[in-house]
Amino acid sequence: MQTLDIALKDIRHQFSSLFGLMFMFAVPLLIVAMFTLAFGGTSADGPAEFSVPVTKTAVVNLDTGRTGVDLDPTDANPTTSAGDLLVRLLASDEMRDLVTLTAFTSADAGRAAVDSRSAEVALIVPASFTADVLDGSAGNPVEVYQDPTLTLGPSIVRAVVGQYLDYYASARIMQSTVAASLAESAVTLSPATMKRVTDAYVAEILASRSDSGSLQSEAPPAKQEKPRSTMATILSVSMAGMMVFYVFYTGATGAETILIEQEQGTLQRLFTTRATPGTVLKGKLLGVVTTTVLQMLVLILVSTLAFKIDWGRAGLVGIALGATALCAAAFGVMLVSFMKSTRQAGIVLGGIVTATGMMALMPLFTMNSPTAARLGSRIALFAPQGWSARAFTQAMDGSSPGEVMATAGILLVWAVVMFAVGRARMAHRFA
Amino acid sequence: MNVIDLMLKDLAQILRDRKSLMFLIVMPVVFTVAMGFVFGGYGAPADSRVPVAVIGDPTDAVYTAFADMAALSGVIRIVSPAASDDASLRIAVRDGKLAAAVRMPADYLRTSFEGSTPLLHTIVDVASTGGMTARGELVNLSMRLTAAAATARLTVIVLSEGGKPAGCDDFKTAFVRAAASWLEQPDSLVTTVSSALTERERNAGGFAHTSPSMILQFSIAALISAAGIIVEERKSRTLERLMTTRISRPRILLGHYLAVFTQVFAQCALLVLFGAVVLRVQYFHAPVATLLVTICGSAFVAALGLLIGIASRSEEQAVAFSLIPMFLLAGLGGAWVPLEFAGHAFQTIARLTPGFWMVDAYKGIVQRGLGVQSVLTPSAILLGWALLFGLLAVLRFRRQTG
Repeated sequence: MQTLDIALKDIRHQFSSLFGLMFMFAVPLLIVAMFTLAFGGTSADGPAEFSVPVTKTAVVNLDTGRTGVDLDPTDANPTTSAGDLLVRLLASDEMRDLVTLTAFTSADAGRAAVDSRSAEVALIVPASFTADVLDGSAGNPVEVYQDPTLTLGPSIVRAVVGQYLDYYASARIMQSTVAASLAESAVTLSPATMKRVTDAYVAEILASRSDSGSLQSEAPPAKQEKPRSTMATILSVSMAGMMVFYVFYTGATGAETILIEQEQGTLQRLFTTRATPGTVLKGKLLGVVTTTVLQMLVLILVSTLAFKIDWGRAGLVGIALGATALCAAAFGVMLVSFMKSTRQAGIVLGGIVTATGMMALMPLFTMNSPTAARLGSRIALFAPQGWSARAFTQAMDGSSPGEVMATAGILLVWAVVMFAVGRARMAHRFA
Repeated sequence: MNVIDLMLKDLAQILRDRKSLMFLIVMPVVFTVAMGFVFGGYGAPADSRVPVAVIGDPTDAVYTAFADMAALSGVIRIVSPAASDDASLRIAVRDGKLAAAVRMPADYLRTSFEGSTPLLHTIVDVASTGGMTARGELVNLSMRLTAAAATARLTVIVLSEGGKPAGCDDFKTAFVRAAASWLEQPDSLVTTVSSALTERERNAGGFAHTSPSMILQFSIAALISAAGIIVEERKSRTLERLMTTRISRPRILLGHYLAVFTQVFAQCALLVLFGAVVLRVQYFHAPVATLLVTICGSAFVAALGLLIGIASRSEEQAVAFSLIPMFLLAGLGGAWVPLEFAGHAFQTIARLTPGFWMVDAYKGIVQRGLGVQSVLTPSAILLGWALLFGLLAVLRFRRQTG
């Protein structure tokens, strides 16, 4: 009964503070809202698609074309060059969401736009571009001049230009391959026949171009049940990470009431009753576990409604939630057992919760880099918060119950070890 | 007691508590190194290409052509999976060991010869950045394969029209020839950068991004300790006693501000020094510019710290009030995920925040290789924010002390 009373008093204390409530609920949601704004927003049906930012591109088309060559007889220009077509491609409706173009007349002016940061990338098409792509000669390459702090925008421009160059390369390869085969077989064709089959080839190649090429894509098994967009993945990982960060902070501040009570003398008064240190610790633990469970339930509910986050099967979320609550409470008890005063606890708890929480957030920080993401995920597992976030993301990904339970099991091991350390130190302190 | 005495008292308190050094030095150093390591630090030229498995018969012409083209890719690298059955490949992709796995159909040539475009069965998680990157490159390679097959078909047609009956063998010969030609194409695209620094200097092994970011983040996080001292002064009624002396309220605030500024500046300076000497981040490329950003950045962070200390009622609140701006300003400043990945609205909002200008000014020096001229505007904006936070702190302090 005393255990329950202690727990209820602590729970009332946590939930009666407006400031505490803001920190438990409003701040994590606010930060996830920030990520939502950053990467695309939400729609009524769920998280909107990840929106790739538009790259401001300075384009310098120096291509002089080739005498007598008009690469687009359908337009008014009698000497349309490969450079003209490239600029037209980049300015097309398809590309409007990816690049915005500003034309410059000299390479220096284009580069200056990047230097002054009015453009992120300068695309400089050389004078010999048409001749180079038609002949396949090395010539002067197309130059992508970029701000060194950027990667995404320049890579999009490079990809578009690369595909455009591939188009000419495929035509050249076709010509050389056919010519070689005809020569080997000593076959000659009339120009009209050659033009007819070439036109058929170009039509076939153009028809085969699609966003998916000839790939037949299949998602990996766990995610197959619940296919998710990149945006949904970003939101899910950030929400799980933020929730875990603040739940462990709640765990630490909840356990800090031991120090507060000790400084206020109420703890000593409690020991004059029949309450043993073990009873007090159990009461405190129960209070923190209940508070963190309520905190997570509210955050899960609100994020489901506000950000359309799919947390996965209720049973698996429950396993992750239970293990996280126990671990956060044990984490708080262990940390507080090393503290002598609330002054000391303020700095140390803040520091350790921030450091370990940031380790757990590594997968979020490294999402934009495929190679870093793997290493980031491993580093996260050096902190209990990392395992907790992993359990929630596994539930979100639709992983098997066995996998979620294995992660939860490791979290419980962390909890048992941390609680044992905290209990031993508390017992020594209050002996 | 004058302003300097008050400042020295605060600094002595900060230094006496060795645990605050954890925030000031240990944590930012550890995280700078850890984040730099994750992003391929220590100068090691990390292979940033994503791992992809190509499954098929190594003696098959299509498999060879595809693998040869993939080997030249700057985006994907071919790896041999532990097991090549579909179930194992799905697990490997799910667990991130592979960015994608492609199975080359055994009858690719036959199907192409008959006029269809065979599909390459690919296991890929497009919700991951690795999967998305791999898929983009695999689409390009698959289109080259399709183009080679179309060329081979055309060759058969041309030969037939020329009076030489052509069959599957001619198709295969033309396909192999066309696919091989892709490997010989001239490099028609070159990338250059707007920087006075060499690639090695401006990347600093991955630390050129993490070092300025962690300076911003942990200079704000360390306000927990400085703000805590102001809170403690009020809780212990030392402030009330101080008000009974001849020292004026503005001088009390100034004393606290100078203490917080000294703490933040010393922390930033040490982290800059660590970045420059140990991690080879190019802060000393423009030392005056670096000093100016560090001073103005410290002025803004210190003013924020003063406001937090005055606005907090307890140490717990000081921690929370420090962590909230740490998350917001670091996130908006591009300390975690570079802002180029964020949308237009977010970037616009970010540009209004001081964290953005601090990180951006440092990056201008260490990555773009710019000098003093480039940091004048950011420094002025940082000072503007320092004034704003300072003003709010004064107003709050006036209300508190009647």
